[in-house]
Amino acid sequence: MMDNDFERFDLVVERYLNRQMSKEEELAFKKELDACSEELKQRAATIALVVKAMHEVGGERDNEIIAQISNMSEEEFRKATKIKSHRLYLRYVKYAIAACFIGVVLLSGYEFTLYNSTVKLGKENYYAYTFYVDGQNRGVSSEICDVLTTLFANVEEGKDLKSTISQLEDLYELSVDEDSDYNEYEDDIAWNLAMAHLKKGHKKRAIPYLQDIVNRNQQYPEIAHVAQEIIDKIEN
Amino acid sequence: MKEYNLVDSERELEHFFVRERLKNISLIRSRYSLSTEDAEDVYQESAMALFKKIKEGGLAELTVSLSTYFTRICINQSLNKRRDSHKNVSIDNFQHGYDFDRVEELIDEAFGEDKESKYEEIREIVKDLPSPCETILWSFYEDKLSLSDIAAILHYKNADTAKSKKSQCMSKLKQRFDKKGGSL
Repeated sequence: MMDNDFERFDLVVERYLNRQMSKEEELAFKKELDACSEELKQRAATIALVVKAMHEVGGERDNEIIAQISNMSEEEFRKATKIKSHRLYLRYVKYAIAACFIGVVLLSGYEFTLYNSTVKLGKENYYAYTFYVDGQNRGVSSEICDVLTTLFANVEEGKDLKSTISQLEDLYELSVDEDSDYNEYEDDIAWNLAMAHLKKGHKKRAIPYLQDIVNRNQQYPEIAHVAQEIIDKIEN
Repeated sequence: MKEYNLVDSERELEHFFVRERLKNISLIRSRYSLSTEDAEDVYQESAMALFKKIKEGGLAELTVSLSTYFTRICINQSLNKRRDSHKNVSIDNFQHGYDFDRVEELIDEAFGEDKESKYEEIREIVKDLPSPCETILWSFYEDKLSLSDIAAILHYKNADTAKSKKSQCMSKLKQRFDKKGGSL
C-alpha cells in the first residue's frame, strides 16, 4: 500500500506521531512501515528527527526571547518590535492607501496599453502557484532571498522584464545544480521565468520552464497540475 | 550560508516579531475577514498582551511554542474585535500534541547508536532552512498550524498546494541530511 506518494506518506507519519490514529490504524501503519521501502523508512525517521529538533531548537530560542523581553521596559519593547502609536499608525495607513490608489491608477493605465492575450495569461496565472520568499528566515540565506524577492517582484509588477528575465535565466542555470544555494528555488525561478515570458508576450518561451516544473514534480501532483494547466492553455 | 546564532538575541527578537507580524496579519485577515487596519490593530494589541504576560512571569512554563501561544492571543483578540469573544480559544491549557515516545521510537529504530550524531545534523539543518520551506516546516511541525492556515500565510492557492510544498520541502531537507551523511 505504501508507495512513493510522499504527500500521503508524510501525512500518515504525522498522524501517527500526533496520536490521531485509531488502534487499528496504528497496527496497520506499523505493519506497513515494516514492509515499506528503505527510502520511506528513512523518510519517517527524518520526520521524527525534525519534530524533535524543532521542538528543542524552538524551545531554546523561545526562552532567549522571553528572557530578553522580561528585561525590557514597555518603551524598549515597542521600539524593538516596531509597534507604533495608534494615531501615527492610522496616519501611516491613510498615506499608504492614498499612495497605493495612485500606484494602481498609474499601473493600470500603463498595463492597459500592453494588454493582449498572452500578457493576460501571464497576469491571470501569476498567483496560480505563488512563490513566496519572505527573507526573514530563522537563520539563513538572506542575500539569496533579497535577490529573488526583487526579481520576483519585478515579474509580478511587469517591471524591467528584459533584464529580469536575463538575470533569472542565469540563476536558473545555477539552480539546477544540486549543490547550488539556489537549488531550493529552482521551481520558483522557473515559474517566474515562465510568467515573465508570458507577460512579455512570448508564449512559446514559457513552455520549457513550465515543462521542467511538471517533470520535477511528478510526486507533487498539485504543483505539477498547475504548471500543466498553463501549458494546456498556451497550446490551445 | 550564514550561521544561525542563538546568542544574537536582539536580532532573533526582531526577526521573531517580523515573522509573527507577517504570519498573523495574513491569518487574521483570511480567517476572520478583518480589514488590514483592524488586523494591524489586533497584531499590535496582541504583542502588547504578550509583553504584559511575560512581564507578569506568566510564561514560565510554556507548553507550546511562543509562536503558537502568540497566534492564539491574536485569534482571541480577533474574536473580541468581531464581538465573538464567547468563541475564545484556550491559551494557557494547550498541549503540544506530539507523542515524543513515538518520535524517539522511530528515531531509535532507524538510527540506533548513531541517533545522537544524526540528531545534531538535523538540528543544524532546521536552524538554517531556506525560505519558504523555513516558514512551511516550522509553521506545520512546531507551531502546529493547519495546511489551510499555511496556504493563507504564504498566499498559496489552497491547502493542497501547501501540502505539496510541505512534502517537497521535506524531500529537500532530507537531501541535505543525506549529503551530511544522514542516510542509513
